[in-house]
Amino acid sequence: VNVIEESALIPSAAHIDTVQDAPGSKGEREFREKVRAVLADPLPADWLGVGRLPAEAQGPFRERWRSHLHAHGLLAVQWPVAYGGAGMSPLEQVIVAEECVTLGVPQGGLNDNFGIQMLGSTLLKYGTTAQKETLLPAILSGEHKWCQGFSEPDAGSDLANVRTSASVDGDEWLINGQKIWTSYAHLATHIFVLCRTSKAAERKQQGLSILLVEIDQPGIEIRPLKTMTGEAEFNEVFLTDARCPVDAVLGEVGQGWTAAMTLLGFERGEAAATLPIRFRSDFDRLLQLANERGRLEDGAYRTRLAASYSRVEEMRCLGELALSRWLDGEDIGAESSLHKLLWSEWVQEATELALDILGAEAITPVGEGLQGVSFPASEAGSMNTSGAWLDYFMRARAATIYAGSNEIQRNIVAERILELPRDRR
Amino acid sequence: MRLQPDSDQRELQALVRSYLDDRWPTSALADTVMGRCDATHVPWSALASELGLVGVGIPDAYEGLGCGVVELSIIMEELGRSLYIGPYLSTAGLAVTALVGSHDHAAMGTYLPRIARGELLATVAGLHEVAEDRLEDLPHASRTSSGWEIDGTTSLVLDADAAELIIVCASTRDGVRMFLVEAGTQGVGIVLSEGIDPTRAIGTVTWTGAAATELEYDVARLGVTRLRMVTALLQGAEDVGAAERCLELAVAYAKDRVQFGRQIGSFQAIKHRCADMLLRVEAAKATVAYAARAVASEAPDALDAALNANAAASDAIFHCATSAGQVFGGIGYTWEHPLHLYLRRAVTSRFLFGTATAHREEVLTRRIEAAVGR
Repeated sequence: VNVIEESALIPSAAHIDTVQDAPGSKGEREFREKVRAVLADPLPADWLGVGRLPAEAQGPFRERWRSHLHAHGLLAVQWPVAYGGAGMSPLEQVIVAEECVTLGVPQGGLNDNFGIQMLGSTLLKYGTTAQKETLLPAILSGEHKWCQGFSEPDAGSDLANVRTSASVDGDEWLINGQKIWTSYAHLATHIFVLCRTSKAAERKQQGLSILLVEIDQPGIEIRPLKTMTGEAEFNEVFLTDARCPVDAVLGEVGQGWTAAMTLLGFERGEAAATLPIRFRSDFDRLLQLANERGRLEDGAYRTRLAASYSRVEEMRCLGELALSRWLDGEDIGAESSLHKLLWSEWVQEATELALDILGAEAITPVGEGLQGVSFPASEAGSMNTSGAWLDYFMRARAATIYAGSNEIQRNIVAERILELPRDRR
Repeated sequence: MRLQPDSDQRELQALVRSYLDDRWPTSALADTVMGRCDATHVPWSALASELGLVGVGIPDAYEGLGCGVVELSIIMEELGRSLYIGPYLSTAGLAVTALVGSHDHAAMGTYLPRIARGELLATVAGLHEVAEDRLEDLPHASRTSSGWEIDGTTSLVLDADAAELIIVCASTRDGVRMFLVEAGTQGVGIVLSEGIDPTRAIGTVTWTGAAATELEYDVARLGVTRLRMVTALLQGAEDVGAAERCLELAVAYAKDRVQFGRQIGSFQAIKHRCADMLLRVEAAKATVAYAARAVASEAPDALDAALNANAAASDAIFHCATSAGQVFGGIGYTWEHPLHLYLRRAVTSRFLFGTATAHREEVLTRRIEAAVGR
């Protein structure tokens, strides 16, 4: 079993030096080589990717891998050094991300998308000095693991319709309501909760705040939410007189909608570079499947494979364009909606094609499901079995729903890019 | 790879756009294209003399601007936007690429300066057969005491009627090579086709012992491949421009047209249709931008990138021309409205110089070799 040795994770004394030169330069190549060496160091020689580890090895591997990244300053590469980051440039962040994807290793723990990417980035922008000094190091050390308390049963696409409410009780907020679709809440120590702190609002986007709440308290109950794949990465979170200190607010009281939009809008420029790499490896695995099942000579399958690959290339080119704009400091903005439409619809079509390649084998899939996170692409090293593809097919059904449903994305594209008039919603 | 245009390239784009908006506006397309004006209305010599655009791909030494396919593709996008009907793709795109890629200094010295000055129109024949990988259908070239002679037929030759110089791809005992033939040479028969697309002058050229001079290449095969990828790229760029313009017209109409007391663009049925058009346009634009730079830098994946861009762009113009029709409703179905011209261009592009399906199949074949090893 490919599990890295504990001894390989001893922190190195020095972080990697940063790149000062232009893209494509010698400095960039040297930085890339150093990153690759640090990443590859604890991995076994026959490493294929985290997708190849068995289910029971996933959790321990991720914990140790996260420590390895942290020890080498590769966990929050763009954060200032003062808060435990590496103070690196966007280009360096992209290189680290690309190297992680190429090697088939995660870029952090399961809760880091919420803690580092979303909350951390927003705290750096809007947080108080005290919040930055206490919360940011705790996120990096892994002491605080965050989850996102946004969606509710009546607030999905219409997020501003949240009903969870909070009122001041002495020096604390008292919070009541319910959250749903809360990813990895069962692994989290903290939750940031979008809730209504004032009822006297003209528009429902007003009177909202984001509160920073500890999970380990009597007022919070977490129930796993099993999805159609049989997995339970989502949860329901019930808040019944849950409490947090009165100053545990992200941004200002009543400005929660702005804070939420900022938090969701942190652009992952590096995703534009890494997603196409992952989809291309998905596609290559699909080709191998088609080859093993003798479908490569069949014109009907070839036409669909050719169309599928053509989309992978479109995503790659669009990603390169977005990335070069992002590195130039341009706002990607609503264009990220175009990317989301492309990849989510690609992953559904590709997995449907996998089903048809398998044919009747799809009725009785063999082998375990996908290992690792697999949102939205499967992890490197995933098994090329009918079981893995069926699982991928099921997981892909969510792709057009989560992270803003594709209907909402099309509205965003039409209204913000094409400037068509807003509809009453 | 940096895909966004630099400041010079953006300037070039703005220059061409404002020139065409002024001299070849979409609002006048129906009149100009449908034959209610004569050919002198088509801005051509001004493209060469005022803007120097015809010589964009021609080296300085031959009186050109010494730019490359990235600039050419930017111009083609603009020409595609306005459904420009002059012989730019054939002369400044295809013929110039064939000449510049050669090692034939005599031919370059004879023709390139005249092309750059806008004095000579040229085209390439046999490209459709090359693009469709039907080399056996190319005309045959055989040696004579004084040079070569060409026999056979080439179909779907762009601007065949106007070209004063035809560069023809013909098969020889040593594979495909390119030959120079001046119009009016005995044994060259040109028949202009009555096509569906009035924005494209397309003809068939029959060759009956026509005297020709070889356009000399060190390795002719590589020249033909290069020509093929540039053709795919430039046609793709042109299609993307046309698709984008088609979408813009539809979006403008959706903001203007009121039904049920509201702009129709406020309805999600219209919005989502427009968003889907934009998705196809932006994806195709990105593949064209990538392919232009891959071809310019002679990247190993340049041919695949160009074929993929051509496929994406050809689908984009077809998608936009058909989908925009649904936004326009009845008005878009009229003869006076420019939409049918975009639709006609979409039909031509779907089949001229190879289909999207065939291009994708070829790209897939190479990917299978790389991923599966067969």
